[in-house]
Amino acid sequence: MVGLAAAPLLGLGLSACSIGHPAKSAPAELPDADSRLRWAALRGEQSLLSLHAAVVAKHPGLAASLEPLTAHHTEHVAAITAEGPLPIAAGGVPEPSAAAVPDDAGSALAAVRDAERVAADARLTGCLQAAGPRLAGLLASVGAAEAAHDAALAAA
Amino acid sequence: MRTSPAPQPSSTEPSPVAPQPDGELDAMQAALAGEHAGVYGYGVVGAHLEDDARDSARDALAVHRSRRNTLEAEIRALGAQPVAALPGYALPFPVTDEPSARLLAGTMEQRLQPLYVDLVTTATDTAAREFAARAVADAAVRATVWTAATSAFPGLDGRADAASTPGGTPSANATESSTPEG
Repeated sequence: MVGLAAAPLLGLGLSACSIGHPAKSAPAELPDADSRLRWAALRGEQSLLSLHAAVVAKHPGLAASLEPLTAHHTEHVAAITAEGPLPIAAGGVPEPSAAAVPDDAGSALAAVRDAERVAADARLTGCLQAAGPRLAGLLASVGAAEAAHDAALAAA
Repeated sequence: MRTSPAPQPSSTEPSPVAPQPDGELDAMQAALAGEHAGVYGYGVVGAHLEDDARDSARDALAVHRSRRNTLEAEIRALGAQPVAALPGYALPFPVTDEPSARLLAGTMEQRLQPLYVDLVTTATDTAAREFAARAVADAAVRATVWTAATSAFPGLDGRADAASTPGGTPSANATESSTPEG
C-alpha cells in the first residue's frame, strides 16, 4: 500500500497491537475488542441523543433542524445493539443539565455540531480498530452520517 | 469489465469465513469506476454552477481526481490493471441548470458511498481502510452540501447485508453512451 501508507493516520498511533486495547471507560468484562468498540460507540450515540434532547428542550426553535438527525442517532443505537449481545445494560448516560446547554441558540447549535464532529472522529477511530469487517463498515457509515450532520447543521 | 486479478499464491488455503482473496481488489476497481464517473460528472456539474457553488464543484473534482489516482496506483501495486474511464457516461437525468447540477453532484456522491463501504469491509490493511472510511464520510458530507439530504447510514442504506456483497454495487453512471468526455 505504497500510496495509501502516506495518508495521515489521525495521529492515532495505530498498530496491529492497538486492536486489543479497550476503550478507556469500557467495562473489562466485555468479552472481546469488537464488543468494547460497540459499547463505546453505543455510549457515544446515547450521549448525542441526550445532548440533542437537552438542546431542543431549551431551544424549541432548533427542533425542526435537529429532530431528523436525532432520529438517525436512534437508528445508530439500534444498529449497534443489533450487531450482537452487549452484557452491559445500554443506557445510564446522564442527561446534560439544562445549565450545560448554552443560553444562546446559536451557541447551542455550535455545541451540537462540535459533538457530531467528535463523534464522527470517534466512529472513524473505531472503524480502524475493528477486527470484524462488518463492524468496520457500520462504524464507517455511522461516522459518515455524523460528519454529514455537522454539514447539515452548518446550513441550518 | 472486471479486470483480472493478479495471480494468487496457492500456498495458503483461505478459510471459508475469510473474505474472498480478491475482495479488496474488486472493491478498489469498483470505487475507481465510480471515481471515473465522478470526475466526468463534476465536469458537467461545474458548467452549470457559478461563484461559490462552482468553486465547490472544482474542489470536489480535485478530490475525486486525487482518489482516482490513488486507487489506480494501489491497483497497480496489487499487480492488476486499473479499470479505465468509459468514453462517455449517460447522465441519470438532464442537467440543464443549477438545481439539476446540484442533484447530479449529490447523486454521484451517494452512489460512491456503498462502493467505499465495500472497500472498508474488504481492505487488508489499516491505511486502505482509512482511505475508504474517509471517502465515505467525504461523500456523505458533499451529498448533504449539494442536496441538503442526510442519511442515517451512508453507503449502507437499503442493503440487507453490506459485508456480504463487496464490489457488488453498480458503479455510478457507468452506462456507456456516445457522449464524448470533456
